[in-house]
Amino acid sequence: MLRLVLSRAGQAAVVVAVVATMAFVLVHLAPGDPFSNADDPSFTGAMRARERTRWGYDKPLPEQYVRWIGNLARGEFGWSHERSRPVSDVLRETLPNTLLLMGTALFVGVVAGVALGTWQAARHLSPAERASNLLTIGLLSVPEFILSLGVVALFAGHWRWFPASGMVDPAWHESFSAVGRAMDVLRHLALPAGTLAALTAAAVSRYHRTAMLAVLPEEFVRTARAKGASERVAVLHHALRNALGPLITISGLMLPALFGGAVFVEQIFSWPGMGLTMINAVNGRDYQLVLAGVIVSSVLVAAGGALADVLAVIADPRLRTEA
Amino acid sequence: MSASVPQARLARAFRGVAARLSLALLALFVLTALVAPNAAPYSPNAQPNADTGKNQPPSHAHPFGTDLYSRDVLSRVMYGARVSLGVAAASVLLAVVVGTTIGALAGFAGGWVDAVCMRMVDALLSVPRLLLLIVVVASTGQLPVAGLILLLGFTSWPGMSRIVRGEVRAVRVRDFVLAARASGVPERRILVSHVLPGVVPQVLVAATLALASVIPLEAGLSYLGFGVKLPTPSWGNIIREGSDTAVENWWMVLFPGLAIVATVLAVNTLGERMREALAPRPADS
Repeated sequence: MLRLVLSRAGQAAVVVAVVATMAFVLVHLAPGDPFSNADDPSFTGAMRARERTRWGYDKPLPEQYVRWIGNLARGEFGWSHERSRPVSDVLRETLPNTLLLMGTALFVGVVAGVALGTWQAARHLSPAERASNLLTIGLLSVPEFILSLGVVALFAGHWRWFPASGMVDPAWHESFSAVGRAMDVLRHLALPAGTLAALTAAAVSRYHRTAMLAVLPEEFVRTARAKGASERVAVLHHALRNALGPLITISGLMLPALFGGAVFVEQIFSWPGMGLTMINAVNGRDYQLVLAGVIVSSVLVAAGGALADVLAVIADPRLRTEA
Repeated sequence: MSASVPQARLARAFRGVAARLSLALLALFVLTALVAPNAAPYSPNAQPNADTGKNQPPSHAHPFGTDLYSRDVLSRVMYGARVSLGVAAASVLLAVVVGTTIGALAGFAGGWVDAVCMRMVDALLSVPRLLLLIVVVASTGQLPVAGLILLLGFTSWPGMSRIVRGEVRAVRVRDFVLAARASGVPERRILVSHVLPGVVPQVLVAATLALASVIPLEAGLSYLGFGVKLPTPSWGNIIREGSDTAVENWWMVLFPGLAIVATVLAVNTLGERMREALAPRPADS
């Protein structure tokens, strides 16, 4: 068990190191630096050279790389030139918002996906199941940004059920009670998290339906039925439990897509998270912030994947092969 | 026995109503892309009347309405098909070449070559791809179309190479490969003319599914303003221009959006059918 944890942690660390190196090389191979596109005419060449020296952009690349990695290891992500504050401060503000959005979406999406997949397997080949199947395939063919725009236009623009953007009511939030503030955040969370959750649920239900269809013809399910268990108990108690195994791994595999989706969802719903911050950072050529965003995301994805693998083994002792 | 030949099994994927409809739809879109310069009612960048002709809802003269600059949305969507489908096809083609080469080398060589290639693939597959693309765009600025194709192509190959590697490893121990080796055929020719042909059906499936992920990716990048540069229309950047007023001027978002969703749905349907047709079944073994 310990060996598994260590080896998965090691793999995750290698992945993060590769990503960090790739990101560094990509950003630094390209021409320009944060000071090269200052439109201000009073920003002279000499001033630019001084800024470059001050921030270490004049040093050879390997030296910059070593220093950068060293800083990362100490949790220092550098300076956001556009916001004139440490990148770690920006991350501390925006990362929790992204985690709230993605955590809600992952939880709701997995639960809904399992429910849908179980129902589909139990009603396999019925007209309702076929229709729901088409619906999930259809939903998975809608890119996140198009779905988000549709959701905004209908639920916020046309019917005005939920607010279209932001995380809190800009005018009234501070005057609410604690419960009122939580409700305010929930109201703002509904559409962006719902959009991501719908896509997650569609993907999870596809996997889970297949897993359930594989389990339902098994002998222990037949035994349960033969012993007089109702169809409900046979499906929900005997089959469902045995089909849940791969679910932890699948939740881990959802993470990269969820991060990608969150970028669009945050942008369209103006959710003040890391995705929105990164898009703004790209437009402002705020390299340190972009790099930090990519690295934090890849750490979270790698750690989530490793955690999912370990949890899957804890949940299912049959996977403990020590291979 | 003949039903087990992969090519014959793949052909079965194109039967049935859903597959026929998907094929017809894709054919229509590809045709539209090809004939857009002759068939589009207006020039995609013509601004006939920037004052009174802008933001017009769909009408007889402009079936998809007009945009913020009075340009005809239908014409832009038709020209957009050229760019969006062209970029997607070219980048998947690039991914097929790179992915097949690396996957075949890794699978055929084995040993440390295999280990290095596959660790690299693991790393690339575990990064949210959009973020990687954002880093590139952050450092280079908005890319020309050729650059976008290279970027999408060079980030699409890892999944492909893994599939090719698996197939190559399965095929290289088959009897006909051993027979070829025993009769003195050089290794390179064994790989090219005995092993690789067996991989083609799986590569076709992987390429189809890659197409279904590259189209939304290009559209998404263009929507964020990181993809195809305006005023060149792509389905994604047409939506970008209309998205600020999506509720009032819904036609600027709905029609290019439908084009993307329909294309992806059709490609996904075909890809799934092909995958199922090639999946090993009890009846075939």
